Amino acid sequence: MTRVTIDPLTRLEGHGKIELFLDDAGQVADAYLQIPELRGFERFCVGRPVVELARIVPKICGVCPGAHHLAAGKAIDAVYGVEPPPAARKLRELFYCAHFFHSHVAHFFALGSPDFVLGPDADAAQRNVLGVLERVGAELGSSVLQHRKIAQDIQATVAGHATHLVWCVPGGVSKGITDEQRRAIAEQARSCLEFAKRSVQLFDAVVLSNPAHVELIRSGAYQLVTHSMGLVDAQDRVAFYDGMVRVVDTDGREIVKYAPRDYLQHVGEHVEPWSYLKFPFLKAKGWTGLEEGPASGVYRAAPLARLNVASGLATPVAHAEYERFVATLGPKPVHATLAQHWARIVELLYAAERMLELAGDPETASPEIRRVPDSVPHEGVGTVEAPRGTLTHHYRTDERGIVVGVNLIVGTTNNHAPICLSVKKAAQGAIRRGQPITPGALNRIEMAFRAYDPCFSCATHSLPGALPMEVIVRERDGTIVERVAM
Amino acid sequence: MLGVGNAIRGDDAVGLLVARHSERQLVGVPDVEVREAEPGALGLVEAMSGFDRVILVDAMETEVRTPGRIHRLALEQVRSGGARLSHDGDLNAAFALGEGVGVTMPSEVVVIAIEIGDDESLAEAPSPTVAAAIAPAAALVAREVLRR
Repeated sequence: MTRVTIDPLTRLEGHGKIELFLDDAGQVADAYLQIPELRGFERFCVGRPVVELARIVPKICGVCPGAHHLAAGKAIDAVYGVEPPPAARKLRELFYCAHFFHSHVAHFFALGSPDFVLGPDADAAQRNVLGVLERVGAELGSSVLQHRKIAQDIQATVAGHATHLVWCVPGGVSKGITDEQRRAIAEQARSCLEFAKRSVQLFDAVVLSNPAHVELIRSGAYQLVTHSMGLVDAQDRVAFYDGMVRVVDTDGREIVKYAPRDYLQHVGEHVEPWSYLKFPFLKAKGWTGLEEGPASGVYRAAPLARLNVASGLATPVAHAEYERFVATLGPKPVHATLAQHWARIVELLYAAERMLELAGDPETASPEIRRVPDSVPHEGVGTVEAPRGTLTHHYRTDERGIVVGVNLIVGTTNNHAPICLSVKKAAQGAIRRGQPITPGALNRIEMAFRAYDPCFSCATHSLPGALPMEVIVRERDGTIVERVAM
Repeated sequence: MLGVGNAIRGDDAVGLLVARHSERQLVGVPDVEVREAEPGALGLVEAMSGFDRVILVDAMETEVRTPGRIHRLALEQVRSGGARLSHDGDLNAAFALGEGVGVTMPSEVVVIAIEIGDDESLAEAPSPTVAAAIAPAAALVAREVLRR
């Protein structure tokens, strides 16, 4: 078997590969993913003032800089043992809802919807956002871009900039908003909510009213029975910015609910010798191998998992859509991988409603946005729900606040094992020895992969039909049978 | 003028660094805005919408790697796939997408692409060969801007 050497320096292995191993019968036995790994990044951060990390980590991923900035902000608060004042928390949450909105709109329209609007067997050249626009019309497309811009404007108003983030400081944020800005944001949030409702209608029209698509969502190839992880508030409702980490098992029973700083007690990371990928698993179950099911330690994070662990959503329109989701695809927990696309729409509604709530709260415009720390820095964990899953930043410093260690579990890292399993299921039957890899087979693998909306730059900056991944089919001993660029 | 790149991936920052150089050089020149972006696909549409002309600067990988070499390309040359900019696959889609939804995309596009060696190592500065291309690339940008 080919051995993969991990470059010990600050390298991001840049290109994605899906490796499929065949068994003696020539069927797909295992699927493994090689996507950029973060150890180089973690090492790059060592030796720097910890406060700088909030500025650096947004560059991990061009699509979710806000998630990393806030996780870093929270970790740095914890390093300094300081709790931001309420207005700062509200501002961070307001920013974050706008970020979620921005991110989910992009994913749904540009990345997820083409599979449903055009269908998985459509030609790759058509099965992209341009194909979607042709079907749904330029006006809706224009509204997509307009609301992305609105969400970005809200982020810029609140944090100074949507992507070049220098906003979080230990104990709070470096700028707030005026009452006038707060009211303007409320107007914008209203428009976002209307757009989110339109997204529901679109989802109904192109997915739910099409029996073939519903069948696809329910099909065995796209079911994966795993435990689920997500952040919840005090009433066990979906939380993006802050909360406890709740894990439920394959039947929906709570396995554990823990404070983010205790993550190492509950999550382990398994290393495979042949890969530079780490596989997080639940310590309560132990690592039992790359397999699904109740006895496995494998769990999922991201929109579907968040709905599985929660009792619902804290805002009315989103909660009503959640109930419709459960009535259609339930009972919970829902294990249909493609249901993640619907879960994103539910979250889109919540993000818009929550923005409206926060913008309507006068305290959001308070000048009390920072509590200056007075403790010696040491160690801290900051966890948020990134659009793509539970995101954890763990920093250790010396007494001057210089970083001595960093551990990152990004949204997608939680899903390494589930992605391998989903890809394997999608590939089985579609790929076997002696059979050339068809575009249809690649499409289905791609769909399984894309439902997770992987966080790494190689995968997120692509549109369907242009995923820069290579699929390599190997015999058990590693001999390459076929390789195809997707 | 839009400089595109990733600030902490070594040579991949070159587009951003040229933009900073250009911003200083183009002070006082009317009707010009200099922007930096580290975007995904849709971000490029958002960055360029509403402008008549864009001079886009980015890093480029070619099969025959000559780091530091500067190319002036028309959009069609990038679209045809002859060159691969570090953030380009989305450039093609960005224009098609913008036009598809009726966003005003620049009608004149010039791409200034700087060949790089390594865009996978994390570093806060480009390699010396690529760094040496920043000033000449900015001079090329200035010529393009002032050419009317």
